[in-house]
Amino acid sequence: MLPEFLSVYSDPTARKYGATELAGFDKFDDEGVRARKVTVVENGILKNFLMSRLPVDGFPESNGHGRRNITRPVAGRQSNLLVVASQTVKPEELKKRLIEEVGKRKLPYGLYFEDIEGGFTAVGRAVPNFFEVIATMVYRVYPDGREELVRGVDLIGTALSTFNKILAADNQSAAFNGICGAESGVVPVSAGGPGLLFSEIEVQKKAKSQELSPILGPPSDDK
Amino acid sequence: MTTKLLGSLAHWLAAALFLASAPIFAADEDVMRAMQDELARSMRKLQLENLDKPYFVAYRVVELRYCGAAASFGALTQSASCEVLDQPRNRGLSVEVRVGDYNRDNSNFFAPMTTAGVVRLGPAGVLMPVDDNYDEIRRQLWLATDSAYKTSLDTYAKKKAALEHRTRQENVPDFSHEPVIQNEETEPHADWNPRDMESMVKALSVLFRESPGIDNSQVRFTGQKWVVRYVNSEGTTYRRQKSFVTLQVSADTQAADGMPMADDEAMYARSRPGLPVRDEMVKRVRALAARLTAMRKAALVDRYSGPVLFEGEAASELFLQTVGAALTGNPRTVVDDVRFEGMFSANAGLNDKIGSRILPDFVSLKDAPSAREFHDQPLFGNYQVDDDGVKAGETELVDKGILKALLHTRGLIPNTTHSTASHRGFGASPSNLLFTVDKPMTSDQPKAELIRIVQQRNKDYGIVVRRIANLQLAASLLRNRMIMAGSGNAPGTLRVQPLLEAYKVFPDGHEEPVRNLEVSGLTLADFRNILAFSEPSTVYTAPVLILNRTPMTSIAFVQPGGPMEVSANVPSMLFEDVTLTKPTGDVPIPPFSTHPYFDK
Repeated sequence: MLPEFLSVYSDPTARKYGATELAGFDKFDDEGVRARKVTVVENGILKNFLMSRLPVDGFPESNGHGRRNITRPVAGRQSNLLVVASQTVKPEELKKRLIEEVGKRKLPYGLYFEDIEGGFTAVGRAVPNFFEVIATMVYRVYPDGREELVRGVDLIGTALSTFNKILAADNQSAAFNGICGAESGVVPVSAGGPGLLFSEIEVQKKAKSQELSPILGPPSDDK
Repeated sequence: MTTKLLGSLAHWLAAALFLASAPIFAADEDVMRAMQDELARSMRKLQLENLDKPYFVAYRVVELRYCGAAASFGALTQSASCEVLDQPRNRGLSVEVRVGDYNRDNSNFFAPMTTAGVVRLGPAGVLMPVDDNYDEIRRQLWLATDSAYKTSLDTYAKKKAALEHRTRQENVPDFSHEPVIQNEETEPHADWNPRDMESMVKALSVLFRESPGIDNSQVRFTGQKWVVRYVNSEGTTYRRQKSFVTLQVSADTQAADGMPMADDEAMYARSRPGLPVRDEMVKRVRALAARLTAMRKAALVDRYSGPVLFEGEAASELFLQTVGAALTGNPRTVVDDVRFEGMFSANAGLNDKIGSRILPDFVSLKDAPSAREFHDQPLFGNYQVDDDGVKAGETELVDKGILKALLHTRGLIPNTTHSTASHRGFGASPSNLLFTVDKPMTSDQPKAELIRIVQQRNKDYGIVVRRIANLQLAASLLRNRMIMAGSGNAPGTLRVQPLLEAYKVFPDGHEEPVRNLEVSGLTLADFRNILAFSEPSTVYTAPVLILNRTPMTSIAFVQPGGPMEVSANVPSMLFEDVTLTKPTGDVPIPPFSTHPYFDK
């Protein structure tokens, strides 16, 4: 489900990733099961699930990922989700390859996502599966290397087709802490991984407000 | 264990004696100055293109300090969470912006609500900084006013459009003119002592270790202090400082047949020293436990129809839940969407009863928010100006049985020109309801009269009711086992909460308890024919659920700026014919095993 050079772990026993303290750290999960590192994807192949004590076919035991917040039933949830690449390039090289791809495919520009503020996904058999990532800092990268900050763009797609289009990863891994909401409530989590170059990704326009600016300037203007 | 906790009662009593009575608020010129400056700027400059300027703007800032503790069975369940005693818990801002004119503006119109602007000011207002920071408060006022103004313009345009294609049958102005006043009401704020609160609730809750029949109980102390600041573009300003403490004891259990039973006891005061002394509190908690224990073993009556005497607190609850809760009038609301018309159909309340007799002709009733005491008993509905800044006085509601007026805000109802100064929190509400009765009976006469009717009608017994549940008191404790909901009432009948304490009264005068009774089929007309009233001498205070309240329309101040309880001196009332029934529905079975503490 991923390129061969990528593996994914969920490791609640990791306290730190580089200098970042990880929010998904725990010695025991919410069912009192000792937390442990789980290899979810190994060299691109799906190997395991994050399990609570509720068994699924072929996965009879918990692997220390039964999580919830108070008043909610436990579910198998991520802790510290870490993406690791076995082949990497320098970040400058990754950007160079982005420009090459743009040139090769005669596109006016490529997109460089520097920061996001969150996202959400729908999974399950009764609904269409998709994800959306709310981007905050996005640049157009032109074939001549020029960069231009743009706004109003979000990332969307379906997981399998998008993640199969990863061309390369850089060697600058970083982690962030966040809050993840799902059927067992909101839990603190971390995610970490390298920068990734996609051959193709879908974006959509953000909803646009018709709102007027405030009629009067701020009170400080009035002095 | 029991002895030790009871011993600590002495400690909190001692602590209470040291409580000083002193204002705890710092100088607040910055908050009021920020409100006045931004108000002046908005009135001078705020206008969107060629649309209407606001004709009225008001700001109301309510700050609340809160402290409370709770305990059950001798153990603290909530610690006294009031570490920062000199800081407000929160400070909420409501903004009222009116466009149009006094005769017709953006109020009294209902359409699916829209908001506008950066802040998205909802009816609940926005939270302001608790620091007296002039610049930040003005920044918040600026954005909140912008939002309120845009929303008002939007609503006003929709309302004008809706009125284009209809003829209004009543032409009542939307907003009344009121005298401009400046008022400062400063009730002294006594200090709180968290340790006193904790030891008090623990020591009182441990008393339930003497009552094996009660399986769930709680004692809760709540202290609240408010400071309300108000300015409007007419020039009215007020600052209101209030405090209120509540000690609430509640207990519930099940009868042997599983039927849920509950009872509670609430004590109110303006500040902690005003609560009853220790011995009195202990007495009242023990009386509550004894009452519930006795009621648990009482007989069930399938159905009773005949004379019923409502005494004391039962009379107060009966009146406040029915007639008292309907004494407010709401302006006629323009509804643009027929799907919502039904929400407003009961809006008129008792409007069409004005001029009709609703009580016996020897009874009169007034609402008196300006009164602080009645016969040396505190009246907690008291305030000097209402939430709109209208000076509180007295409103004659019923004169010799005839309904004369309804309570309302500056949103006028037919045949009125001024507010009755009744705006409290969400909308109009009674404050202090005071009865006068010509030739009242002495306190033991109503029971004698009940027995006389029983004998005259050859009945085996009559019923006297001493306590009725108050839904808001029960709900405020998140009680996990509610009294079973009453049987369905027919349309036009008044809904009364379950009876908590009632007795059969036999012709020889002796009484036997009966449990789980409910009032069925009572109507407003029954109050007109009440046979006898006692002297209205005892004040009862309780939260009241106001009936016929206008659903949320665009303008509302919803945050209470003081206690919302109503005080009333309702006399005991003897009804000639009331139907009482037991509740319908399934009964939960009692717990499988016995209370572990008493299982020794």
